[in-house]
Amino acid sequence: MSHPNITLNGILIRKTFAEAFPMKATRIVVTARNTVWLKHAVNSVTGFATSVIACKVEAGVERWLKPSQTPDGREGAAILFFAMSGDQLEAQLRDRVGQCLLTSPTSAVFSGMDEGKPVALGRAIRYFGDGYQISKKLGNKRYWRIPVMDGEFVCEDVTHRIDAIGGGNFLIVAKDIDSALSVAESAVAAINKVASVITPFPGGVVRSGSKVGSKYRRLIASTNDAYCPTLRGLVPTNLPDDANAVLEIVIDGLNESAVGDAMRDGIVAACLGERSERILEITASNFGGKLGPYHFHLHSLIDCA
Amino acid sequence: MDFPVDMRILKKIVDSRMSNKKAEQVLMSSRPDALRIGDLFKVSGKDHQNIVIENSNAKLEGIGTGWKRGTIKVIGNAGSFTAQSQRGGCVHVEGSVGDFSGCGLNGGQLVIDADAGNGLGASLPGEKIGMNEGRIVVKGNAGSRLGNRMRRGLIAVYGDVGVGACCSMISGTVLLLGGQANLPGTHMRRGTIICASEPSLSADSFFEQVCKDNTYWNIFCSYMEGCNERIHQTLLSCSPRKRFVGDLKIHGMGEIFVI
Repeated sequence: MSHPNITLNGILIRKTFAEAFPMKATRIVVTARNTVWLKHAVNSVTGFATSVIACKVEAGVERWLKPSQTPDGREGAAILFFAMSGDQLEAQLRDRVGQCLLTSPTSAVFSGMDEGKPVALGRAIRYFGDGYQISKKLGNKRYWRIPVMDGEFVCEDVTHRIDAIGGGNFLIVAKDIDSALSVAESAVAAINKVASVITPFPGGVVRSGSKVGSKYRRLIASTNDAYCPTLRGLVPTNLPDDANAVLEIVIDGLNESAVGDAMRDGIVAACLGERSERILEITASNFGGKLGPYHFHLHSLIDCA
Repeated sequence: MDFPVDMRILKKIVDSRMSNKKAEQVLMSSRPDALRIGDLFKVSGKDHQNIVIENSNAKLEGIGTGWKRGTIKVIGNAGSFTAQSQRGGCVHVEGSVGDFSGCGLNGGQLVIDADAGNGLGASLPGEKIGMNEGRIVVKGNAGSRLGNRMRRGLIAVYGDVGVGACCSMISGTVLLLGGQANLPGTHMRRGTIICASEPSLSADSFFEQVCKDNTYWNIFCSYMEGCNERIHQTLLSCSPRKRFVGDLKIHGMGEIFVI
């Protein structure tokens, strides 16, 4: 049952919903010789992958893996990629694995998903081996061993892609930026513990929430003016009087329940986090149901908490 | 019996799911004087997916030919062409097998508790490729021309192998876990041979590499964990000491690991 007004730890949870849309997603597992080089590889392959608007793909670390959890017994990371179409996902994966992981010393790449439609991984970049690449089939998996200057780049032939969800979100409306940042960090830390989701933006947080369209014809998205504190008085605002900072947390997930869980855990962590007394409200971004079929109602999520 | 018996008929009988009585009436070949199944065997039981051949001997040829799913357990020895063109399931021979067993293997697993004859997993005379998928495990010794022209899959031999192992190998993986192999991998084009003892190799055919990148090795060990515990333990207890590449005489890119 929904309530007209819900508060959590004294913070108003708006009766609204986050509007998410369908995406295509895949998971890969990256390993390297040690933590330092693993992080270099991961930072590189997930770089410039915050929003499909200009990056064409959204990517992030789903979780860090112990040596016992990876195919080659080294430290690793499970990375999720989300794109608007299967072709776009495949192209981005090929380019990023080729330019960021093939080049990263000691790295190896494996499929992190065994169901769905196949997406070329090593199959797309094996030709870099110039005929000296070696194919090895172990069970039902094929690996490519591509000779490189530090030895071999081992890469699984294919990974798989499935239908997924992008754009789960909530907004933290705060009296000041320090408080907004503090609770946003708490929320992202909580979301990072949920499986099958990523928060693709820097530190998991967006300050430039957007609305669809612009006064400029070429732009498909522009600043969400109703939540910009410096535009209060100039445009219709959604902000309370004493709000001076709004941060958004965007969540992509492999399924509806994962996104819902992540939103709920994030909101709860935000409301209970340090400096949460300076948070005014939690709300969400939507476009009246015109953008996507997945609607995450904040009150329903909190009712389940 | 002191004459060879063609057991390729077994798959047809199992696939047709005929009754035991009918099965005993089936002719074993198209010759007018052909014996019926019932002249040689007593057929019993109802489980078409788990066949047991008791009191088997080396005269029974072609057991498991074209086998797709389920298991065949052979109590005793099996003759030549065992598991020829097997496509899935498991053929387990509790004794030895004859020549050209596992030829054209295209999936599944052949387990041999004792020794294997010549040409295990190799190409049949006149054919271009040997086994193309699947696994063969030999717990004893294997004869000559093991894995000749092998295309894909895995062969593991716990004991010794005869001459010409893995000659003209196209790809795949062969584990030789017994004594020293004599000139393995002659004319190999690709593929991986793993030797527990340092093999005798022609110096102008194979080049010893210094680079030690064990990433693929670790994946292979991890894969073997789910396949064969004994081999997995053997591989875990050591890492590659040496790696040779060749056969250089034919510009081959195969590799031989010595563990």
